[in-house]
Amino acid sequence: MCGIVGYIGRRKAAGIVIEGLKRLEYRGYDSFGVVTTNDSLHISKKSGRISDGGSGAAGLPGTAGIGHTRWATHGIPNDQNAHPHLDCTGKIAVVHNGIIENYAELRRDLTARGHTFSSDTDTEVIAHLVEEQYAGDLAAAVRAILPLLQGSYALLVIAEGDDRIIAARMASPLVIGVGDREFFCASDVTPLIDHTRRVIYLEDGDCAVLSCSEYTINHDGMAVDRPVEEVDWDIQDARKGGFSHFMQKEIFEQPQVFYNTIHAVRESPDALAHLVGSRMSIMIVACGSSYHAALLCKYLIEVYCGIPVRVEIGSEFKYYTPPLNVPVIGITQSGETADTLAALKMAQAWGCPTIAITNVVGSSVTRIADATIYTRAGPEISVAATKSFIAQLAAALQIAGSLSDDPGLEEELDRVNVMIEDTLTVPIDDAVALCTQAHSIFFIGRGFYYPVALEGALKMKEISYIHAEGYAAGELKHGPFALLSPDTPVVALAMPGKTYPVMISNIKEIKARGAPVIGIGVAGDMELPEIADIFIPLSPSHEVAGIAMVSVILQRLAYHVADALGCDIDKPRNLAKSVTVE
Amino acid sequence: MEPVTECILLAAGEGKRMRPLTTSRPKVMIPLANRPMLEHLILAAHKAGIRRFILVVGYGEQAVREYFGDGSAFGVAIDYVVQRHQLGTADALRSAEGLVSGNFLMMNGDMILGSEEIRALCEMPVPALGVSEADHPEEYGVVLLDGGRVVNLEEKSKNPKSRMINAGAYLFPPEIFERIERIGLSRRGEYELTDALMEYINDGKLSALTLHTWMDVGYPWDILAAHELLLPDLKSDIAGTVEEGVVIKGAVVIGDGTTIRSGSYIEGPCIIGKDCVIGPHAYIRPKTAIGNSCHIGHAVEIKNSVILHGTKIPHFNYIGDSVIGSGCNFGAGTKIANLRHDSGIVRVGGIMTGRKKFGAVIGDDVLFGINCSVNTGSSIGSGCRIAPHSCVEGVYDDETIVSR
Amino acid sequence: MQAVILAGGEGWRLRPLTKTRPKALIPVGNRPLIDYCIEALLKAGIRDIIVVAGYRREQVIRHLNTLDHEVRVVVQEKQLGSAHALASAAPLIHETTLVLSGDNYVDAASIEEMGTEGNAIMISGSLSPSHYGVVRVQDGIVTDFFEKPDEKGPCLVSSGLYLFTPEVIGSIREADLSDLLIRMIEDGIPLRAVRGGEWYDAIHAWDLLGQNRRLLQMNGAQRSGTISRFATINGRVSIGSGSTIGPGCCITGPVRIGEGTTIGPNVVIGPDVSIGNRVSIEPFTVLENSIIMDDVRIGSHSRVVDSVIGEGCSTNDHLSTITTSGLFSLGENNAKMLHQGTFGAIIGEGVLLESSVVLKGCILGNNCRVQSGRRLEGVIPDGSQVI
Repeated sequence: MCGIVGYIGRRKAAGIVIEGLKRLEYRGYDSFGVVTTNDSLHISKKSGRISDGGSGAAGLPGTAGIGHTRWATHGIPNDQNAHPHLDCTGKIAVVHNGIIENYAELRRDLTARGHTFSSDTDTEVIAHLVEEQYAGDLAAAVRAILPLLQGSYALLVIAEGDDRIIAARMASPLVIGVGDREFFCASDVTPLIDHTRRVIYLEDGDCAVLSCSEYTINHDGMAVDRPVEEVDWDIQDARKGGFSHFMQKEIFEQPQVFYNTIHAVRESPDALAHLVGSRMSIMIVACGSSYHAALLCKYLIEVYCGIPVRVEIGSEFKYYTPPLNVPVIGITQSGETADTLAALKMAQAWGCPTIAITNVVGSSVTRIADATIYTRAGPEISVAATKSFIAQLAAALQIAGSLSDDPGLEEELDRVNVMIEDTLTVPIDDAVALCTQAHSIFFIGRGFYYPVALEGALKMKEISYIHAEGYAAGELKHGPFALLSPDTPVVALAMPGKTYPVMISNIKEIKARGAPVIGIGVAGDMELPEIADIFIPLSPSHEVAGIAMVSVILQRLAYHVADALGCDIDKPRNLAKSVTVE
Repeated sequence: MEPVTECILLAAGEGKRMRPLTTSRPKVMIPLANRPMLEHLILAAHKAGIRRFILVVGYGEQAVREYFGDGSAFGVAIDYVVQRHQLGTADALRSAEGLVSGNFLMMNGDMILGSEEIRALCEMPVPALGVSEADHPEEYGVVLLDGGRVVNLEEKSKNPKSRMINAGAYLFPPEIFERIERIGLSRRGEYELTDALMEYINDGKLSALTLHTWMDVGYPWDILAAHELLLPDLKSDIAGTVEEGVVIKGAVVIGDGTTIRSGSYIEGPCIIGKDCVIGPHAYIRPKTAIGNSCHIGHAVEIKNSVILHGTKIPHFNYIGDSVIGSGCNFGAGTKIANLRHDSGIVRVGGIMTGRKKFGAVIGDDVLFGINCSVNTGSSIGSGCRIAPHSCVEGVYDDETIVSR
Repeated sequence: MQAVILAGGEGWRLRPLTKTRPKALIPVGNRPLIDYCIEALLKAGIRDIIVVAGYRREQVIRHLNTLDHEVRVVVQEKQLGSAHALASAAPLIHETTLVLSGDNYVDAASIEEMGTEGNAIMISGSLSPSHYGVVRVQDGIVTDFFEKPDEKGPCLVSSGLYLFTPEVIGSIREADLSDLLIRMIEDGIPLRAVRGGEWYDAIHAWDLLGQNRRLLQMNGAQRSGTISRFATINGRVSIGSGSTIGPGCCITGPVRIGEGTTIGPNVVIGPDVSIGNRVSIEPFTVLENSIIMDDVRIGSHSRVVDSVIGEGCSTNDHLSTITTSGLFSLGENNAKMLHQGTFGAIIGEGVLLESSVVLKGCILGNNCRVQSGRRLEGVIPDGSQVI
């Protein structure tokens, strides 16, 4: 859950590597480092963000180099623990994304054999292992030590006096960019597309050797050919263009994203066929915001199609695997979420059809799953998921629409983008002011609005650092009531529908405990404005639009609260966008 | 002095003005007399002594790479560099840094230039600029000359001070790369060569060579003009089968595997590719180029037109003064008009073609039903589907459907 | 040469159409007004473009991000006036700068006419100067300037296009440009008066129709989507990708139709109609001289003439508009004023109309709902339920 970049070719490497790392900052930004080679190795690394301190590294000489932007897993983020890591001789340098699970054991053995460690990272063992095997052929040395490593890695290795980069991948993403007399490698395609559209997606167990003039890929000791694919991505999408934050830009892209996604799902009938085939039951696996989208998917499919759906958290699935005999859907924005990938592999091993819902073309999940449904959110830069969540919701709604016998549902979906647009300009200043003062905020909803409340709370805590909890409204009195006070605002989602009357009585109970209530409902509601301290009226609409509208209002609430508090919205502390470690 | 053997060719642009012919190929891959525009230029430069080419590619680069490969099939060495964003000529040149060793040529890939004049440019004192006299200098950057020296450059303007224009062919010393490092963004938001050239001009060092065989191919109708220029030099070469009762007049090239069926009447200059079937009773009129694997069938008349490979025009069709993409199919009786009733200059999408006779520009993979009429000055996008008996005129985007 | 486009103002006299966007983003000829400004600047060779956004700035920024040419955006936090807006761009200004209003149309020729040196103002003749700044000129230099006078009769007015040196922009302390101009005249800073070419401004919502009519003349005519061969299409008509024109439709240009829109069968459109994206026009409906924004549905057997219909409206069958001239009361509370206009209907966003509604010179606010069979005139406020 770090980003790595390598370059070898005819141009100066340092600048290209640094620019590449900037594009990967969403993967981690605790610390960064670059190493280049001509006759000897030149290193620059430090804690902090590359966008703040990267210029110092730009002057490093040499036409080959590797770099790393880190999200700490082993060892605190400081200068020592920043990659690249060197061996004892200082002649071999490694950058690594992933986790070496047996590193403690390897480190013990290496220390016993006289190696000196200068960092707390798992990565450093790789440098020392390579050092032991290195006898002039770096590629052979790296290949020799790979079997010793347990866990996940995408790694790049260079050595003094060797004009090659060795790249290896196991359960962490790694892409090679094929240029003209130059090659690139990176954790994903974003750093490459300024230079080349021709890419090779490495597979687990692959080890590639890059030089100025050629590349070779080995797998299990055999040379293999991997297809060169053309990526069709527009870098413009990654431009903030005047918005204060990428998150704000992405929130405002949601009407179009929703529209694009429902149309994309309608045009991918193959994936839907897998689900239609078995009307028995469906299982969905996901993590983070995708898990909330999965919960919504469950409610929607169960309500509109009458098919039972079970939802599992990816990280739990691996250790407590439920019985597997139904189609399994994996939802992951990046397509690289390690826990979700592992779950789909397991489902496949049990012979279950697997379907991926992802935003990234060519990502690992698309290679694992039997069929893929793409969300059309475009590149999402902000760490907090917004438009990718709405796209997943759109996919869930369209899947429900396609599986349902009610043709009216699809018709309603055609108007949801208009309603999202409408929601973007609903004033929420009072609610923002109230939340900004709070130490703790509760989000409550029922039915469809329960997962929406969970997602609203996640957004709030992710970017504003205010403690927030989402609850099914009925659950509040089973414990959390004890926490209510005038300092704990409650955001109550009271949209029309069969749960509306009970929501109103829930809100009255909360008011009785003195907590201020922000009621989100529809314009024209006479009762809610009476009892809520702050009422946010949304335009009346069908309930499928309501789900999207409330989700968007809660994103905007979190965004403006975080903005008012001066938080670093696009890169919240301790978080990275896609979690490719367990 | 060392002879000039290296040449940078700018081939990264899509050529939006050439749409819809650029849907599936970059502009430089549009064929003239059945070979890509760029191939004509490479062959001419090769003849003038250039041995090594650096192609700056971008839009549709795969097509260029696949066709030219490493250049060995053309007796030259070819390297590629990518210019991802169209940020101007200086930026394109910069992307080729480190790949040339001595004085070198740089040319736009979308023009026609004879080998003698390329050689002459190579032999000019360095640096040098190719210039050409234009009928419409207001569409180009204008060059002010004093004898053989350039004394000023002018951006495109409505009232140009000279008829001499920058032809986009340069001879540069390697130190140009240092000069372009210093260039900033121009007011057009691009990295343009003008600043570097102005330095040379101010030192009185930029020589000019007037080119007479130069022509730039900007709009689809320029393709017809280019054929009118290139085809008269054609030498007859009939490799395919010509059945009895075919009349062939003038210089005609007929490719391998092509059959000309009985009753066909072919007036040169005219070029027909490989593996075509022409006729019976087809009438092919002068300055027509037909690509490989085309079918021109019974009672079809083709006049002064360019037809790319794999297109089928099989029964009772008339095609006049038109450019037709590859893989199209014309239903029986579908015809293209090429003359206005008022005999006025034909416009396409509001742009003057300068021609009284112009038919249509038709993209790739367009399917016409039977008896469609295409009015003069139409532009039909690639992948369009036109229902039988439709009358189409105006500009149609790619993938448009004219339904029943 | 740099350019600053002022796009921060709401343009309240265009309400209800400015609910979610500033005036500069209102689509005319199917493109936001600001697009024409940017296009004219690019045509005149000016690439360094700065847009000042204020009211509903996110919408402005989002739209600008979709354009091919990258422009810079400056945010004016509070809409204190046009000079204040310009001053907020001052840190980015280092050359002589053109200043345009994002909601006026000017052509590239006028921009070139302004020259590249010193300070200048574009002027044009007007018969009704009451909405504009009036200018007195001697030997090509402005000698006097006063805002929105009561006087009637022909005179020269400012057409909202200026050229300022960086020094002048750096010195701005005023809120309104008119005050800046007055100070410049007092301080003896020469301000050239330049006669402009084409220029239009829409003051009221109904003025958009005239602007639409003129701007439609300028757009290309490219057809895309699926078009029935039994549709009759004449004149300058452009149709966006993914749109469907059913059989029996008769479209007479100039007309512009957006993407993903479904029309017909048997719909009569034109002349002078702009239709947005994802719109649905049901059979036997007639549209003329109107602007139909994105995501609108118009039911069958409707007749919509001289009207503007905002985003996301849905109207059932048999909607009729009746064009009429009258005085309309615009503005809030004390600032209410009567304004003269001629049109059929101006409908805000998200309005729902049931069957057989008749609108005669009616301004219908955002999110109104009207039950079937109603006949409405005059100004109906936002959120009204007509039952």
